[in-house]
Amino acid sequence: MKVKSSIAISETGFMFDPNSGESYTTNQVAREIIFLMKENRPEAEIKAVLMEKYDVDEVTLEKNLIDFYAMLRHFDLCAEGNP
Amino acid sequence: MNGHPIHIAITGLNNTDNPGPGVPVIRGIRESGLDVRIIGLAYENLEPGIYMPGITDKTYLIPYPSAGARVFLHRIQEIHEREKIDLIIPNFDAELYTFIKSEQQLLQQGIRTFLPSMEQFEERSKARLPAFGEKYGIKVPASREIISPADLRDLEEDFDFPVMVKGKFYDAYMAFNKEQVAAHFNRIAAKWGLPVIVQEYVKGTEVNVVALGDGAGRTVAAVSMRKQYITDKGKAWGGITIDDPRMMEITRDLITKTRWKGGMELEMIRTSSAEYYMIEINPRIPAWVYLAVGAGQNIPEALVRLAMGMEVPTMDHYVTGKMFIRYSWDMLGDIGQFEKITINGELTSGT
Repeated sequence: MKVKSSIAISETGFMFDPNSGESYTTNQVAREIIFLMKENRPEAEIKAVLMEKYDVDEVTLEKNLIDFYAMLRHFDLCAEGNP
Repeated sequence: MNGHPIHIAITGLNNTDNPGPGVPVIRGIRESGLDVRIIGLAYENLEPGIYMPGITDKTYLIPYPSAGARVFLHRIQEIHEREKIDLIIPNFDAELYTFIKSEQQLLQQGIRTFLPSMEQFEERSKARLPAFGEKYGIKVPASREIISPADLRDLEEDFDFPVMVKGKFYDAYMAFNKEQVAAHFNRIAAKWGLPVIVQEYVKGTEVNVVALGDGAGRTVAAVSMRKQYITDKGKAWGGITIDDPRMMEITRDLITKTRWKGGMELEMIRTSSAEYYMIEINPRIPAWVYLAVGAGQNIPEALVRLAMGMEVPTMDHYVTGKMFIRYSWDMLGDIGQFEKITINGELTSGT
């Protein structure tokens, strides 16, 4: 899954979808994930980066990532592609 | 033109919570660098644009079109004799009929307009929107004209609630049952006359386009916007430019097929499944046009240039993410200004 190329995200985590006009605020972790997605990093690599950086077990991280990706899909912020 | 300023008369100076497009149209023209003299045409003596500094050079009171075309045009003639008007930009739906009908008469006096034809104006009316959608291949919500309360009798057979109840020119209310429809019908009919239109409610995001057609099928300019803040009158109090290729495609296709002449606003609903329903086509520049100016397409300037016979290149690009936020501001005036516009029917800016 990729974040749509048209989505703009700033260093502060403020996201703007120029297609819908919607804007979103993200917390630090969400921002990191989106930046990694924008770099076209595969899902497994994103998971590994987060596991390395944060004190979190794999199951909890996996569950939260699934929720997060579902939310991105719900807001139509993703272009389906390489997971 | 020929070294003389273009004298442009503009209506819609009511910059209230239900704003007319006059003031933003003037701002666009003023910022274009065109050499102009702006003559405001106001219906009420407290329209804010009369008193706002730097907007009009002079403002005249004019009678409502409901006073009759003869009275209305006589007043325009009076003003023309003093101001030598080159171009009139009407900004109200309710006055467009008179201006379109009088296009040739005005032109004979040297007054230009840049308006849709009567056929274009009438076929996009709310009451005829379903036929319009069918003719041009655009999805529109189901709707029905209501002439009397008796027409509401079998409403449930054709519509699920809620429905939208709309005036032929302005006003739109949501109704959740037949009693509410009847109440809105009475209110709207008293204000705007008949017919009143009952329209299927389409759930989704309202997105709008302001566009300018050259009358030969070319879309000279088009900017799309999503309302971010809507007043209780349904007016945009804040909005943002968006990049929606499908909306642009619909707009260009429509202007090509209709050969639309003049400014227009397309109001659409984008559903969650990315379907687009046209809910209204306003045959004039909308009040949020200054957003388009700020985003890179000076539509009022382009309209003036087209009307004056100048070449205007097609504007393809604009900045997305440009926002407008309206605000209220207590402007101070003097009783002397109010006296002049009320007693003399005219006020020179700065006096």
